[in-house]
Amino acid sequence: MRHILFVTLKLLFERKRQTLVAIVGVSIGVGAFIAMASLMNGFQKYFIEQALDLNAHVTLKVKDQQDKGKIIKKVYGEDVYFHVHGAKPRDLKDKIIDYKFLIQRYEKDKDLIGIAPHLTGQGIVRYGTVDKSASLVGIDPVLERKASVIDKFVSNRRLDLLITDRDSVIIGKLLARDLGIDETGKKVLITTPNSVTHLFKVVDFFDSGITMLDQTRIYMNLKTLQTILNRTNEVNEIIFKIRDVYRAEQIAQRINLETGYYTEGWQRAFRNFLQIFKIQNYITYMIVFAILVVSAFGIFNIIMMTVLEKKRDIAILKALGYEDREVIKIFVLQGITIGFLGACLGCILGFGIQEFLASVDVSVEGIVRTKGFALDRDPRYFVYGVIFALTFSVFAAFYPSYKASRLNPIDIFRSSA
Amino acid sequence: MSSIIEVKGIHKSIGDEMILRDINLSVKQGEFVSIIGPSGSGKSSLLYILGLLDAPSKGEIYIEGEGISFSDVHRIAMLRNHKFGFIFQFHYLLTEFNLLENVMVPMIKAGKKRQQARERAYLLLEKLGLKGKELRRPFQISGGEQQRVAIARALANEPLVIIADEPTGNLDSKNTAIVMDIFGALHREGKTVIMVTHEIALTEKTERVVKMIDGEILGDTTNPTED
Ligand SMILES: Nc1ncnc2c1ncn2[C@@H]1O[C@H](COP(=O)(O)OP(=O)(O)O)[C@@H](O)[C@H]1O
Ligand SMILES: [Mg+2]
Repeated sequence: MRHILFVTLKLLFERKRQTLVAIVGVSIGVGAFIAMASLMNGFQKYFIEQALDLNAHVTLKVKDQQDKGKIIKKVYGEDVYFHVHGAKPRDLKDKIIDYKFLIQRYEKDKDLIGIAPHLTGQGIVRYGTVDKSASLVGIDPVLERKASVIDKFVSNRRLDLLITDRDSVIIGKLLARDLGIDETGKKVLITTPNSVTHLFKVVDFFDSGITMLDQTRIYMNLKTLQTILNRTNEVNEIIFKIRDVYRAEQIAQRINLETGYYTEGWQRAFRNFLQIFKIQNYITYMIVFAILVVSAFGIFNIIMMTVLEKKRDIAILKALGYEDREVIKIFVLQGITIGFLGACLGCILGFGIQEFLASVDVSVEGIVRTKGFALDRDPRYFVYGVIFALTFSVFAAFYPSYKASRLNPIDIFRSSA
Repeated sequence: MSSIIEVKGIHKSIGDEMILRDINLSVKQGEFVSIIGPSGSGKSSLLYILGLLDAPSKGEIYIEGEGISFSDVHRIAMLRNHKFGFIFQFHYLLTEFNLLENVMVPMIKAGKKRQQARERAYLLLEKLGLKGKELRRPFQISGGEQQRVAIARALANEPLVIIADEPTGNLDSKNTAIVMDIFGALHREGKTVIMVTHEIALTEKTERVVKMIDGEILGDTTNPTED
């Protein structure tokens, strides 16, 4: 092996500039991969984590499965062609009739950790002269705690106040900002669609990082919301917390079968996002792949050039007793060396970009709201980066190396004589 | 004395052209043989076959009495490395390597420790009058000096035989004399040398002269005057 290294390193470092360019090419590929992977996955993981925390793993609700033609079909039969104009929604009872029974029934389920009832509705919240629409969520704080991680997002951990003070609310941080509320204790008026207006005290803020929620949500005691919506003892949603989050769909289906209610696991609720993430990943990896391919061409290029320019030297080495496979090794090793150095540099670069991104103090406000970038600094990305680089460099180097090994020294000696 | 290289019934054709015809030649340990002939007579082609750089189209080769098969690439490479020291008209040094490293390459290939290889390379270069220039690169010395580096490299693994293809073809008379003196000295040390040339004057310094024309050996004489 020494006799191979001896020649490899010489050939490589004699052409410093080209070697350096090839190394830099690889390192950009690897660095970009690491940075992109940690950024993308960091964002996605953060989003899913937050979403999982906030949105029940499984939600059970009343779903309006209105069939506009139901009556017509009943009267005229299934094969009738019709079009319904101006159908009015029935005054559908958006209610889970036996919710207390359901909660009891699933309390002891081994797949579930928590279960909590919700009543949701719309309302207008007013502070001073500012009006905002809000989605009102009535919760049972004791049960809610077990079924979600709401505590984590309540800024001052005053969820209990919803129990003691029935006229208190926790409002979304961005909603509060839009209303002009910057501290607790402020009084807001909430008006419901059935024209009930009620005065509430803001006791805490809700700060999930998910813009859509923080901008609209108001939590209050379930009993209070039932009262102001005039829906005594009614709920329209039950949430479940699952032991194994990745079995959510399965358990959702089970509950659906057992209860007849519409259920939805988080993967389904978030399918649009998960789909977007898939596409996003796809694009990211395509770009990174393209960079790596370009750097592989860099390696291919430098080794092909070396082989073409060093035909004479290859002939001499063969005359001195180097075998074909050793010549292959000499040139493949050049590729691997470039790949390896590029990978090392790329790791440093990737780490540097991560450090930089981590230090950037931007408040991103898109689908999610974070301070700085949510990075996933999984060491595996470095390992993958190195593996990719080495694999690519071996592939890129192989053809020219093989070409080199096939040179017949006699041909070279004759042609230069 | 036994023959260290022997070829029997060698033919070589390239395409339709027969460039070597029924060559029979045996070189004994310690001989200093020159092969002479006009340009294109097949001298280099024969030398490549003797040095196992090229396979004949037909015929047998024996090195130290053992038959050679060109399909055994590993053995061929080992023999090139251990048994032969090649010297070419265009010296063919590795331009990326300094003189010392050029001489070290065959030794490193043979598995010699780096330090030992370095010491021997210094010794050989000194012996060939290149002391002090060891760390220069090939393009930083004269043609005559380059050829001496090539000789040093050829001697690196103490080869069985030194094979030189018009080693002085590119040198002026002064350097030609130097190289021929070196060969003479090597011969006196007991080394076997096979040298191709097209200058009759040079054959006078050798023990034995093989004449080639049109791919055939037309004469094989021993020089009466030997020093
Ligand atoms: N690659 C080749 N293709 C065809 N003919 C060749 C080739 N190389 C050498 N020859 C021919 O082989 C003959 C012998 O060449 P060579 O051994 O180099 O002669 P010398 O060394 O005596 O000048 C010449 O006639 C030359 O034209
Ligand atoms: Mg010739």
